[in-house]
This record gives sequence, C-alpha cells and structure tokens, in this order.
Amino acid sequence: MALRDQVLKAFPFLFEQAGFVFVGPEGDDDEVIVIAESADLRLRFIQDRADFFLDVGSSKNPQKWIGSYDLLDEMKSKGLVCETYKYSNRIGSVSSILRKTLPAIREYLA
Amino acid sequence: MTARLPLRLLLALLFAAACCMTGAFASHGAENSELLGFDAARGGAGAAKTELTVIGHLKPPTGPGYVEVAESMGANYLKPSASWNPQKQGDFIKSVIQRGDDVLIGTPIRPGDSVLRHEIKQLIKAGYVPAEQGSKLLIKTAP
Repeated sequence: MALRDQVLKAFPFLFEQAGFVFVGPEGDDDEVIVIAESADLRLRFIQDRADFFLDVGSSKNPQKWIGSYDLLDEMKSKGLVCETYKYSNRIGSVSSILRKTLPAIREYLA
Repeated sequence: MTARLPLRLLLALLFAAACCMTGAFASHGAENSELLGFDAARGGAGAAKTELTVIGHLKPPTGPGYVEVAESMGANYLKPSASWNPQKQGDFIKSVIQRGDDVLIGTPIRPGDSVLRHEIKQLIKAGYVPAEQGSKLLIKTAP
C-alpha cells in the first residue's frame, strides 16, 4: 500500500476532523515521504525501511522540522503534555500518540 | 591499538574533507549493486578503494539523510529500495563486517527501536567500537 494510503488509513482524524490535506504531487508506490498540512501545522510522515517516523513543523516555517518524540519530550519537560508514551516507530502507535497530543502540539507551535 | 584509533579517525576525516573540497566523488549511483548481490551502492568513481560505509536514517529531522552523506563521501551505503527486507539488511551489514569497513553513523539517531539501532547492535556484537569516546565512526576491533 502506498504511504499516502497508509497515512490516510492510520490517521483519519487528521483529514476528517483536523483540516489536514496532503501537500505536493502524489508520488508512486515507492514514495517514502509524504507531507500533510493544515492552516497552522505541517506533518512529515517517513517510511524508513521497517520504521515509521513523524516530524512536526509549523506552517509559518515550512523548512524546519522536529522529530515528534523530540517535540513531545520538550513539551513534557515544560509540563505541557501529561500523556505517557513510549518511543515506538510503528504507524499505529504514532497515530495513537498524535491523536492524544495534537491539540497540545497545535497550541505549543502556534 | 591506542595509536590505531586516532590514526583511522584522522584518515576518515581527511578523506571526507577531501571529497567535500574537490567534489571528486560526486554521485554515481549504484553501479556496484549487482556485484554485491543486493541493493548496495557506492557513492563515487573511486569507490573501489573506499573502506567506509555510512549508515543512518533515510531522512532525519534536520540535515541530510544517510544516502546523501554517503554519496558526498564516496562511501558505501545500502541503497533504499522497495524490495528492502530484514534479510537484505542483515546481509548488507554482514558484508560490511566481513570487509572490515569503518562505519560512520551519518545522521542523528531517532528515539525508539529502529532498523538503524539494529544495525548498530549488529556491528557492536561483531566487535565494532567508537573510534573514540562519543565518535560516530565505528571501527572493527575484533578479528
């Protein structure tokens, strides 16, 4: 399954509720990086061999990315995230964590 | 041994600097893939003399991915491929170990379990150690 389709399936809340759309031309089945954007946030999904990584950025600064766990650690150290999470690089786990923390991430990067 | 470590590190750094300055090892793709029997690649025309392999993430949050780093240095790397599987990955690292390549961790390491961490574990198990404390260059010490 193409990465774009995997993301749509695993992160439906982004596209159905949170206003995200994919950015850039649709790639082929070998596509390993896709980017989705909302008015305030950009998300970069990366399929790196067996791993699935998520980078987060602000729409104001589209060239700057931070790893999702680095961002969550930073927010946690400031008391802005209370959810517990493990560093899992599987798409289902990443989706579950993002679903819980998206409002806080939006507020933090706004 | 203690004299060997700084010398190898110095040679690797000098090689990298020379490649960056001269551009002598611009990207030439994966001409050696068939010879190696899997999707491995070398970054440049002088690759036959190269004894450096770069591993890392495909796309770290900041900076270039391992492919770009390897190609800029004329080093060996595993070419990303849709046909990737753990067996090919393991075979690639085994070939690196058999040749005794120095191995550069070319990107920051993302948190959590990953293919990159498995590669590093495989190298450490085979006797690889950092060239010096905190170094991203791993060298083989065991026979």
